[in-house]
Amino acid sequence: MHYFKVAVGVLFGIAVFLFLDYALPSKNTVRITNTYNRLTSVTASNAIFYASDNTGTVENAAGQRDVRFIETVRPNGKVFVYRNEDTGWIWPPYFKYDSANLQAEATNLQSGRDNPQWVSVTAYGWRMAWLSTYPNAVSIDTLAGPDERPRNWAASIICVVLLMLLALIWRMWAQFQERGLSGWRRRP
Amino acid sequence: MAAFFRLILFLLIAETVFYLLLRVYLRSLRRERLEQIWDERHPAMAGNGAARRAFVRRSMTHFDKTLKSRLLLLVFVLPNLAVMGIIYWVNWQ
Repeated sequence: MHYFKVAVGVLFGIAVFLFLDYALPSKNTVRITNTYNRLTSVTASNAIFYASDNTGTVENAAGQRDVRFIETVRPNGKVFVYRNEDTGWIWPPYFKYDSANLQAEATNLQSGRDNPQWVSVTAYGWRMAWLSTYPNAVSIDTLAGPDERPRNWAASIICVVLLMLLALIWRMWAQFQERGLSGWRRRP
Repeated sequence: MAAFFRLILFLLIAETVFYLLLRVYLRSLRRERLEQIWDERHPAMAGNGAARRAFVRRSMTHFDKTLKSRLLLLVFVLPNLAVMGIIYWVNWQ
């Protein structure tokens, strides 16, 4: 039983970490090389890694969706592809509805190898080639050079707030275990 | 637009649940403190007795007027401000 509990605890910790890794914004220093739209088939296996289907997206009868993409190159020469979709008012709570503007910005910041314009792309999500999933770009900031790595304030603040909430719930649970609902229920 | 109203509804439900839980917690803390105060003031009548219960009940009547319980209403304000902040940073920056 002890080992079972430990295993469940470890699995839960991994799940929380993966969830935060997926949903929190991350920043990458890249150079934008191309931007385009492509008809993309959103299947049952990767649908949860795309925007919900009622956030202004349109799917055709074959279940394909016109998705905006941003192709980039990292300072180490490896490529990275972002998608650019509205999240709407639903999950994950980025409330992003300016993907057309973001695409225009990305197109404007395209640069070649000779005269690179380095940018920092903030995005959430995972690139999994075998599932055809792409991180969703949220914002783009220009940088002075490829070595610049801006601090990811948003994710830090959210982590601190979550830790504080966890501590508070911990305290609340301890108080409940110690005294029950005596502060709430009227004694006879 | 329906999604927007659904977001408001879910946010409101979550805030109400959290508000009620926090309220129970703060009241419980206050009652514990009042029981301690009573025991310190009246060592002869310490412990759970009718007099102490009456004292705690009397002292708790004005709990909703205290600054702490009014600050608790921020539960309904801060998450909404955070959502508005995210909307601003994501779409207008």
